[in-house]
Amino acid sequence: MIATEDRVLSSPADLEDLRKKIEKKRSTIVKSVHVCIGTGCAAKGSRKLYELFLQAVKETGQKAKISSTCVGCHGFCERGPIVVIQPGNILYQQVEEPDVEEIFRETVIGDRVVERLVYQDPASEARKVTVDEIPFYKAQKRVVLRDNGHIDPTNAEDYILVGGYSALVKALTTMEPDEIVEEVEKSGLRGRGGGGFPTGRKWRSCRDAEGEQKYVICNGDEGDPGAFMDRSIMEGNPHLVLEGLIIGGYAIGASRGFIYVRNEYPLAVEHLTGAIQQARSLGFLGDNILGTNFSFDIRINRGGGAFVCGESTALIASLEGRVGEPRAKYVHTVEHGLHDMPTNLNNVETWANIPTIVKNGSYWFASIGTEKSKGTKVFSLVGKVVNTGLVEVPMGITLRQIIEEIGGGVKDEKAFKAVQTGGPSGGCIPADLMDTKVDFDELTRHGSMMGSGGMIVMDEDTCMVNVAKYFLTFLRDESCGKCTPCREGVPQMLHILDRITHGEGEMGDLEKLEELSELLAEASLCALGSTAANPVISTVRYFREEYEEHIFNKRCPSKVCRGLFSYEISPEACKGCGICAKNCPVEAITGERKEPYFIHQEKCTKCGVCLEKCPFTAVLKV
Amino acid sequence: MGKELVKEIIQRYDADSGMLIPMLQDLQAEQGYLPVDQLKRLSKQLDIPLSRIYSVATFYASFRMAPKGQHEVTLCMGTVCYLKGAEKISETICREFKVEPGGTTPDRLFSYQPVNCVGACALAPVMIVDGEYYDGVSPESAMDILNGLLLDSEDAPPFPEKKPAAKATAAAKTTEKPKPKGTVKKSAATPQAQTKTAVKKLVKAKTSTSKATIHKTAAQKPTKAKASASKTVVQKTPVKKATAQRALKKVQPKGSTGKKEGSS
Repeated sequence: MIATEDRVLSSPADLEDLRKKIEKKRSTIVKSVHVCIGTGCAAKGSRKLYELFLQAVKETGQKAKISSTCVGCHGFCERGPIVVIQPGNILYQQVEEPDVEEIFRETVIGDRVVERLVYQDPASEARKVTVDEIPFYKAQKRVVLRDNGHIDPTNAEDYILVGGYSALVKALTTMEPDEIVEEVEKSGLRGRGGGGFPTGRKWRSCRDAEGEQKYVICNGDEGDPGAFMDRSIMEGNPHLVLEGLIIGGYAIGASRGFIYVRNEYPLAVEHLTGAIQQARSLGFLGDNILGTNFSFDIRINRGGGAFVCGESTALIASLEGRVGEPRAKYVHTVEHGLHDMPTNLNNVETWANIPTIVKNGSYWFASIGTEKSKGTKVFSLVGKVVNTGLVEVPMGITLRQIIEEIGGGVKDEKAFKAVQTGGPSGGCIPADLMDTKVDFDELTRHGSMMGSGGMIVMDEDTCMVNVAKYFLTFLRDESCGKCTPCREGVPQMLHILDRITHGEGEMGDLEKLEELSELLAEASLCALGSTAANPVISTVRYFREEYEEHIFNKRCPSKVCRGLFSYEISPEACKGCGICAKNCPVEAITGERKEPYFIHQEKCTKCGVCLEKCPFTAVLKV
Repeated sequence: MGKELVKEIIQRYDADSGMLIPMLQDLQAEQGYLPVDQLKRLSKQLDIPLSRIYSVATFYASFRMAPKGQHEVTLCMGTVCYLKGAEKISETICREFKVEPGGTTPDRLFSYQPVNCVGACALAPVMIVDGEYYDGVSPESAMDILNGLLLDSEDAPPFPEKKPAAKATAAAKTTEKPKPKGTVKKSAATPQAQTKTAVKKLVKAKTSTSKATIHKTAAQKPTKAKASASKTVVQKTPVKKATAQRALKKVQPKGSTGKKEGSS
């Protein structure tokens, strides 16, 4: 621990001085280049771009005037790597290394826009130069992600410059812990991790609970497949999460905080670790924070790769060095949590909302959203949608707005079929419910749930039975095995689904699935089991015909389930190259060169090799 | 050395038995896996029953009880990757490299781990090789990337014998098998080897250039491999190189080889 006297800030007033100092230091900068280094853009080589920009700045010898910064996720991952030039908010997309020189010469030095790198609206073909013009950003409301893409996540100065830690100062100097809890209660904030439990009420219970030591935990074990909101927040703005956690610690009366991060998120761990060190040396963590008598410290724990550890009691077991098995819910973690002490556990996004609520007040926060769901929600909009990426929208916006306005509709002009929300615990919402409002209760009413915020768009080529099977396979593998309904029930359901997708479905299968679903919901120990049947229930509810088509007619309407559709060669498209026949493992294809080939259905094993190999897409699924 | 390592790791966490998972993570980071001897030491020094350590080590997917391969290959099986064909990629990897999910190839070239979701859904399907992310992977491009690994490690001895392939090639293979260091250069004269060197260059280039190169690598190579493979099938000439054998297997899935040979 850093000795108190070595720390940069020893009183609340010091923060404002520091901010002014940073502001003055940065005032000479007239142009800045922001290169996204989130996992999405980094995978496409953005780190190299960042280095090249740094090099370019160095070569001009104008370090004082021009800056190159690496920033967290902009959200528009589809078009990565993203480079934004300030001032002007000019967004360049799909930037590659050779473009760096041109961007630097034209935009940074010459104040001209490089047209070919600017986003082009697919419908109107109009070029959208600035961030605000792009439809993807227009309908969004960024509260949690406000500074993502603007600040360097590895530099605390950037966070302080945009007003970071001022909420902490406000909380420590002007508010009593009780007042903070009250503010959070009044704001109507609900847990962003899935359940939607009122955060304020949870805080109150934990604050009121008896215990010599209390803990706060940030759940960054974002296990839902198809979700990466928390990753982007932790990677792009780690100090925001820390600030929320420190305020929470003060309000609840905890002296220790834990951040539990998935093992699959190395960059998030790196940025958080760096942020914690900076916060310690600045004086936001440790003994007597900012000269007050509040002491608090945070530790990071990496997950071991178990989905069930996203469940609060399993996560706590994991923090205690045990196998991640949940326990019965009647013992509340707010009273008996980590090491049997009162523990308050919230999701990353929930914590990230706290500084803004403290700073702007509960009234401001409650003015956004619907009656029972307040504020904004971050979604990872992915799947068969034109603009994949991270979006933050006010509660109450419709699914249609998110998918069509922000997401740009379904990819490749296919028909929209359903949207899956809530991860493996959620469900699929069909096309005719697209005007459903995004709200905790609305989504639950339609058989899905808000979940942590994965939003997976599915088109006509997606088989809903197969989707249900995917989620159950996932849950079977991730079930911890502690309680029987989940351990035995999920494999049973999966077994039935497996038969259905192999053309061996029988009369009564759907009823059996429904019965098992009820059993799971009633008798499972934790939320993993009790919601495990949701993907099945919701798809049976909205796509019953599709199941029946599989069971009774042995056909997969979306042509996904192998064996439940056949392959044919289109005589018009076939050029007679013979590649299919050469590759067919069972010699089921015959024909003469330069004449259309033919598949003998009685020999065909429906392996699909011909479809993969055909250079003219003449092999069709029928 | 092992003794000190365990001691040091325990000290890092003030011998707090609640920190068992981070300790195991550190141990795995140092050793590549969790050797049983070390776990026994850990059990003794922390005074935790070995059974509990074992239960923790086998509960969490990220722990490995066997040595890993030279490279680490992770395939994302998240919803989006799945919908975009990750299952097929996984099947191909398992079939072509004789590896089980969570296991290591027989030649210890790489450890293969399909994971739930790496949270890079905009890049789906995603494969991660030694920490480097590949986006929009297909079964073919995955094969190319992994075959590239094979080449990289070729000059690293000792390189264990590969699985015997089709009958037709077995004879040729025995002549090629005792391959000491240094013969690599000599064999570079054969056409297949030239293809391989070219691919190796491309794959190496990938690390320093942009994504365009990666895609180019993926797009260019299959045609070459395919061409040489189909030629082999037609002419039934013995193939000399491992990659060509692999390509051959690709066209003739299990069982078909024998049948075709029988008929000729």
